[in-house]
Amino acid sequence: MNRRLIIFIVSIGTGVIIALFAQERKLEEYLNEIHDSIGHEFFYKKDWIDTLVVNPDRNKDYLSNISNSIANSGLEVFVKQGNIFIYPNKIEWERMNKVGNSTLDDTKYKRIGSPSEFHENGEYILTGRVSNKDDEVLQGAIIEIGGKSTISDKSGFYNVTLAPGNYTLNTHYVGLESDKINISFYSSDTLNTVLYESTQLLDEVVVSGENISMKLRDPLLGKSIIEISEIEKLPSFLGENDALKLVVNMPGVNTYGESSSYLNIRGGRNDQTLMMMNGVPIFAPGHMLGFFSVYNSDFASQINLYKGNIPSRYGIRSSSVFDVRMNRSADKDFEVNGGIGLIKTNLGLRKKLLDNKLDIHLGGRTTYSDWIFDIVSEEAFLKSSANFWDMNFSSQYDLNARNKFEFSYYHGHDRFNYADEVDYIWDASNAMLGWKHIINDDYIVNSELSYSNFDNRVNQYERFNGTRLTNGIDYFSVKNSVNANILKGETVLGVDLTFHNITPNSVAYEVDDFEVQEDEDIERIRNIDFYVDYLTNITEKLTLSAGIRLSNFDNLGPGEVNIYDNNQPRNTDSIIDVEQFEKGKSMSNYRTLEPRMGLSYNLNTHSFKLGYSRTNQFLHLISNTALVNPISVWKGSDSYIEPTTIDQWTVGYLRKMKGDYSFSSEIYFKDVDNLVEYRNGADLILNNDLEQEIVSAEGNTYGLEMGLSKNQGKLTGEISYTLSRAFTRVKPSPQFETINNGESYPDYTDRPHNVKLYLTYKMNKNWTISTNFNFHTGPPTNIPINIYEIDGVSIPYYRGRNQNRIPDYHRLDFSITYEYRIRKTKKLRDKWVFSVYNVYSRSNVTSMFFSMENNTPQLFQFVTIDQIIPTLTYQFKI
Amino acid sequence: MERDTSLFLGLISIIFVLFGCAKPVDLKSSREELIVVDAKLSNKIGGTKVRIYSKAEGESPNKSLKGCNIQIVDSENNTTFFYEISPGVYELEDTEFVGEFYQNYKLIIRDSLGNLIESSAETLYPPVEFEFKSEVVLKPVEVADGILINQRFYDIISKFELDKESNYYSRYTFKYSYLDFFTGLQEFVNLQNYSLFGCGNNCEKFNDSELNTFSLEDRDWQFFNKTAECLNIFNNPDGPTPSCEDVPMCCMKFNAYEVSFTITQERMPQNLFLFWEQASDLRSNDGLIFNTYPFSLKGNVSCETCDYEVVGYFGVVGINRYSKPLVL
Repeated sequence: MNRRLIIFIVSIGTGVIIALFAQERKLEEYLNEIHDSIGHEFFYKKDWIDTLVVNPDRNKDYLSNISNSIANSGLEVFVKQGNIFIYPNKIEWERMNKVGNSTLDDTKYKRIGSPSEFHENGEYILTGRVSNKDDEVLQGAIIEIGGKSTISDKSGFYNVTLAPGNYTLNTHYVGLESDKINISFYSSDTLNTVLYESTQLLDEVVVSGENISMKLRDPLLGKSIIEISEIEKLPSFLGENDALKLVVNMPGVNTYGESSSYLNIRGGRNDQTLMMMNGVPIFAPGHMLGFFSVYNSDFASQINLYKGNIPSRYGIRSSSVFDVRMNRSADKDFEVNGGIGLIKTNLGLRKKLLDNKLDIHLGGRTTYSDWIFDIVSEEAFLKSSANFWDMNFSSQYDLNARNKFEFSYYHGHDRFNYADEVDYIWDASNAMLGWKHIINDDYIVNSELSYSNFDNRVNQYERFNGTRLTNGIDYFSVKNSVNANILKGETVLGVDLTFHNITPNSVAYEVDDFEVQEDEDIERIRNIDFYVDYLTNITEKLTLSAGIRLSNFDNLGPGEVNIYDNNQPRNTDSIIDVEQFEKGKSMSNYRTLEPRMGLSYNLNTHSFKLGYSRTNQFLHLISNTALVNPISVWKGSDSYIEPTTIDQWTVGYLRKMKGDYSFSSEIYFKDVDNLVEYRNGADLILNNDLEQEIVSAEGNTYGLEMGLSKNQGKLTGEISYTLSRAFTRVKPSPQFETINNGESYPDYTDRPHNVKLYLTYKMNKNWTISTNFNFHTGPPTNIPINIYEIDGVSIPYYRGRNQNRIPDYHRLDFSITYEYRIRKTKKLRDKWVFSVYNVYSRSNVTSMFFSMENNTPQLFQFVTIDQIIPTLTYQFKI
Repeated sequence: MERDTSLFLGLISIIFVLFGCAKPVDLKSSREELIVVDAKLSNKIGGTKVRIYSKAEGESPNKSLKGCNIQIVDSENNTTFFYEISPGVYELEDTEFVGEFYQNYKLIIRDSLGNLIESSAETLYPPVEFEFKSEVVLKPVEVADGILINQRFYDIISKFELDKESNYYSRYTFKYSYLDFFTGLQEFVNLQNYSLFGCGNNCEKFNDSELNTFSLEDRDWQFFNKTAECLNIFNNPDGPTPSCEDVPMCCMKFNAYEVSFTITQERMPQNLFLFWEQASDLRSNDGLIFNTYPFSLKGNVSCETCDYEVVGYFGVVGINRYSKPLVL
């Protein structure tokens, strides 16, 4: 293509030409007149042409007049794709064309859409995705174009309706350099934007995906949106940067012990946090008994955490939501990334296809941890093995500007073999197919089909026979919603249809190679939910979020329900009848209404917030310990296990301080009803009549969370303190005995005092160091107060439930990262991460238990990790 | 489901090997005082005893509760008194007393401070008559330095012919014993505390290291048979015959001239069986997976006025014994 002056006049009306040829004036004025008259776009820097004047010659075309004007100024005129560029010299112009549109801010230009589809009076949709240099989608980026502005959503998407014409698209995101691109917009099309760290912030780090201004206005308390790049800055465990480990550093978030992947948020139990991958529930969020989470950080793009005010679009669980979006898109045509660590390795491929309309990402992780057992001298472990693998596939297809499709799939497999005697195997899958249809600026329709599965087997091999214990759960869902900008606000209306098929624990015996499977009582539950979320600015300072969710729950037949004598303890002897239900008949039905509301009063540098929400939980994890284990099973609400209801009130304060600091504080109180608790001596294993073991309890949970954060600069991080109390009380009933004499007692999630700190210091372009510290009061546990002997047999004596505590927990981790690539254009980007877990080798106790050791009673402390764990990991991206 | 629980423990121990461990903790420092009543009434002469002691706080040794006034009252208000034969140990004044079958008995204790400790009323049931369907032949292996026991209890129990009434609950204690020329009747040490709880068909079962259950049609319990350890010695026909030095837990030294195998049956009420079942549950908790949720197991004794906590059991059992000389 000729890069020099090209005489290029399309059609000019005579009258217009006359009007343009008048007396001498500033060149910029002249350019504006041409632009206003015939629509041509001119690109230049104002200070280049400030002093230049033009005296138009009516016998010449306007390009000649411009050329005359800039003669001897060092500037030249270039025409490209119908637009006119005024540039200092040829070299700069060539550089701009060589590197495309990504570097020269004032000169970026793109033609959007097809001129053949152009209709002068038509309206078309411009859509796109905003991401950072690490391909992470950016929620909350501000997009300005043609006098309109919009904000990118959780997937980084934005859309805006425009008439055809020439525009400048400005994209802003806190901590990143704003992007400006000039476009000629002909028809609906996609324009993705990548934002880079600004020159002055090149050495700095931005912690939160949400900027403080947005947080000040956001009426949803306890909400956090975290970009996945933050995870990579934290110390890793066995070389794995884990989304779960990141959120555990946040106030109000805990796990039970080190090897749990279930989040306990604000006193919520293991099953009360809705843990999701791409908006689809995950029923087994951990690998290797919880040491790793299922969230592959190569795919993760964003964490959405709701600790308090949960939007109405989320249901079925009652305490909180943890949703990791696994749709990181590629910013190059083809990318390879991977990592090699002590125990596992990972590899990922990304490719853009079909003229960048299709973006696919395939990757996986696997362990090679069996070697660890070879260095153990004990024979049983020499015969043992432990490993897992998982794979993710995600793709986004932009069919056109109005229709976008997304598909994601995950499968994970875990296996432990102990001494060739026991096999513990589980598989989990998760899939989602989504369709986003943009009707116009004001209406977007989202449809989603999703599936999730957990299948667990424990095989035991014996000399004479073997047993197999199985359990599992299947989840199917169809979701439809409409995002509408109506009633002076943003409204989301949706309907969810959800099915859970639950296979409880069942055992099979293998005798002479003939496997006899005991009957499985599959539980089928169905939810039909309707919801509305509404967000509006009531005044300039006051923002309201309001929502309501209507749930209709059915536990479906076939099945049978025991009818008990209401005045007798619920056991086999008090069954007075058994009611039979046919397939598809509702055995128990609950209809619930869940109002949710949040208010924020924003005074620019600080804001006050108020929230209330009601949530119901229809799915319960039945477990005989606080640490979820392979024989824990899911159970739907039924005639005796009513949905757990939580009413939560929250008050919050957020202050933006000088020097990129912010202070936040929230006080919450939860009133819990129909909490699942277990009677004294409950036997939950292989029990088909769980209602005989479960008692109904009520709880109250309250707490205070305070955090001081530094969000930008070389040093970033947060220090926080949390007071978190959770109490349970069994309701008096003639059908079951009370616990602790009907007194309130601490729940296993009770952690009175929590102090957390995480810091990242970016020393220079190559080196980053980070550390985190975590302290919390030990959780309640049960320790016998004494041991007595009857007839020569030692018997432990417990005074009451949860009357003792495990020793306090504290741990310090550290990591240092050396990153090679600092320039955007370098293809290979690799880094070395050296991390140290449990720096001062603290033996944190996970649980305490009593056991007979050689017929002598003994109390033990179960310590999951009692040593320092250094790890060196290599990661690369091409 | 004991096995399923142990499976998981095996898995957890893999993680222990990598990074963690289970560390013993001194339980004494966390002790709180308990008063324990360990009492039994039977149909045998001398088979009725009461022991009362205080489980100490902290690291103090257990203390016997002296000077108590103890009596047994039946449903017809007949009273039998105890006397203290040694500190905290009480026996019946009437040394010929034996319990009557189907009679209800209640234990009443008044301590030296005047507090009243009472048990619930318990019924004495006659022991279940058991006969062997076929001849039991016990053939231990003679070795140079003694005899090795290689007999599984299952081989003996499976020959039981028991009354199959549904509410049958018994505890069986197995002992190999021998009459030592110098020291008298000796029990085979490693089996002293081993017992099996038998119950009717379809009854609840339990097991732990000391307390195991079988039902009449049950076949599972055989795998928990303690003597299987000894039996395994002989499973390798090509291996050399072990000596007593190799496997002392399975061996008796030769000083004896009369060796016998004894089964003692204690027929018990259902409540006592349930007490042992609950005790077994508490003893088998492992801290990661509870077979049951921990709870206060107080037994069948209580005190309204005591300012200390009272636990224990007044067991009423019908006893019979079967003894079989060992064929050498």
